[in-house]
Amino acid sequence: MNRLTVLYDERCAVCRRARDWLLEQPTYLPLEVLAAGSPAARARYGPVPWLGQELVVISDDGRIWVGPAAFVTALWATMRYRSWSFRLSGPRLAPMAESFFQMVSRRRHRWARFVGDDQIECTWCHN
Amino acid sequence: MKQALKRTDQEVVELTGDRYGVWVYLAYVTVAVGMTAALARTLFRAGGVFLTDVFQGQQPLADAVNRLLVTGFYMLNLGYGLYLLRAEPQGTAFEAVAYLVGRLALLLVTLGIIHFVNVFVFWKIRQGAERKTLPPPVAPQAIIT
Repeated sequence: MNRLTVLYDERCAVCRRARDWLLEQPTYLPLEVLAAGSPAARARYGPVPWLGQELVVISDDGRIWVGPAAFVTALWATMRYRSWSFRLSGPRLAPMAESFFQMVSRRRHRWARFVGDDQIECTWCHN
Repeated sequence: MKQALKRTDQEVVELTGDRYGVWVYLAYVTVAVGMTAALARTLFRAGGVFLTDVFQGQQPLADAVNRLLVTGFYMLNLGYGLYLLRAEPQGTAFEAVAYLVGRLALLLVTLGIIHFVNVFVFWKIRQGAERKTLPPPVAPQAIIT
């Protein structure tokens, strides 16, 4: 595995903020972020069923992580928070981390006003 | 009587004769240097294995880091050990031995703490190197080819 592609929901402000944060992090392996609804994502990962509904991380050798697992895998790619990816997937914290991520993810469109960023960046979006 | 309590070290020496102070110094320096050398050799040998692993077989680099660490260990320990001893003239053999043992105990405890800090640093270095090669913590939900 030499590369990870993170497919985020470009219609949600929290996700865009998280993407910007991720791009600033030093990582162990090259990281690519791709809007889940973009033509590029459709062309490359069209058959992947979770696109745009869940956070998806795909490695260049074809492994797909979805939802909380994708979140942990993205953390694993960062140099600063790799240790946290193991902690959050350990037996003690995993249930909490998973439900927390799902709670945030499910309501992700509602958090926009806390992030204070309502711009739609894409040309292919139709709200 | 009050005068006697206020006597300076110099007067005490003149009155009692400092028969043991110099032996305290000699014994202390011998033991302190010997102990530091023995500890440094242990650290050098065991640490070498550790560092070779951390630097993934880059032997020259591992050796260099090891030598630097051991040099620092020597400087710190010898400096502190010699600084620690400020023997006063000892009147009786018992006082001299008691003082010597007390000082050596303090030195040993300090060396032990420094040693554990050292091991902790080694462990941290190794942990950081190990993390680099770890696979993702969770299994993928699907695999495409």
